[in-house]
Amino acid sequence: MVRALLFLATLLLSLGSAVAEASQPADANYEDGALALKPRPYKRSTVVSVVIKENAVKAEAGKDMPDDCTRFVVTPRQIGQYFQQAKPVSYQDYLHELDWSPCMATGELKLADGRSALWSVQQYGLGTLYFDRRSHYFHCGKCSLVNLVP
Amino acid sequence: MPGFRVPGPLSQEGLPLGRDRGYAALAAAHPPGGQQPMSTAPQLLPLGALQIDRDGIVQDARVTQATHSTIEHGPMARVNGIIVHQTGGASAQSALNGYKKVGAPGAHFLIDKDGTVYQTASVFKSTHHVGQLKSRCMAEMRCLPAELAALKGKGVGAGIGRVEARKPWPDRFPGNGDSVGIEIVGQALPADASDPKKVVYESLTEQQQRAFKWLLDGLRASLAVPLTEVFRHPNVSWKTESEGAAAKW
Repeated sequence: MVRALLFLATLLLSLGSAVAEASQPADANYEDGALALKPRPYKRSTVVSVVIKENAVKAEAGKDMPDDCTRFVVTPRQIGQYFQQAKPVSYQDYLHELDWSPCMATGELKLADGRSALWSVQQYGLGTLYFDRRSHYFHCGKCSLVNLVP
Repeated sequence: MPGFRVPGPLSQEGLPLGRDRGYAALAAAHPPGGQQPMSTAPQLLPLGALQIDRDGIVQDARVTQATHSTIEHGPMARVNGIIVHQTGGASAQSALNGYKKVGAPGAHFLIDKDGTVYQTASVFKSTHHVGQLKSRCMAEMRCLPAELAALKGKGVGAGIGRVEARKPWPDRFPGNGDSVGIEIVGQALPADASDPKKVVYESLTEQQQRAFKWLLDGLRASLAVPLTEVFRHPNVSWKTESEGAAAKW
């Protein structure tokens, strides 16, 4: 009985949360204010194709950093795996909590649900997908992109 | 601090191993065991120092109180450094809205575009504003063989951060537990960018720069923090390199 009540309470809480998420307008700003603490809602779909546009590039913000980005070379297979495994994160976490790297790769990909997106990944596991004029932020600490100190 | 990058002999006083005289002096000037709250008697304050009461609240008409217990994470006995941040958001209000969530990350001060200075946490309470620490000895190119061995094979972020967390300051950078954070309102632009590699933090307004310098100097004088222990966030943790780059001191 107690278990059933707990299950019901959990279900109601999840439903409430889902309704709250769904109640956000489509153009809600997840890059500022309280919403910046939440990941922008993202429906995961299988990556069906990946095009790499830039490999081993350095971010504008890190142009004066000594980091050698030339070894940050990713493959389409790694990018496909990354966006299957990576967890959506909030803008706050993307910007302030998780580890940033100036070494990046960028490109385009297609998802099984028909969406096309621009992607970026960083050496230390952060990534983005950009579609419908919105960015989605991701992190994967266990993906094969993440480098170790030599 | 003279001789910062020059490895010196082992300290006879039990100060950090292998540190030069500059580090020994820093550690000696900041003994463990806590920082006494600054007296509220104005005549006892160092020149330019801010009055800080026993609760860690700055007593100055130019500081608007907006403390949020939600971002405070326990007592901070000693302030060894000051870390300079930019919020990533467009306004102070958006940052303050974020601070309402229990356990939210946040810093001790917030400077709005118009130069308004908010105190958002007691300077005697730690907040989560730094994240995992980079290796200080690697950044300053003065690691001892034992330190290099401890870091070998450790990943950026938590791997290196755990090694650093075990070190006493100033062998490591000031972290969440011994630093005050100053957030300056400023976006990483273009926000919601299709090309994230072009994203950089915006510059400070003139009012922000003036307010920041005033606040920094006042805190440094009150808390006895040397200039060498003031850092931009990306200097001590893996964060967007342009964060705080426009702030001058």
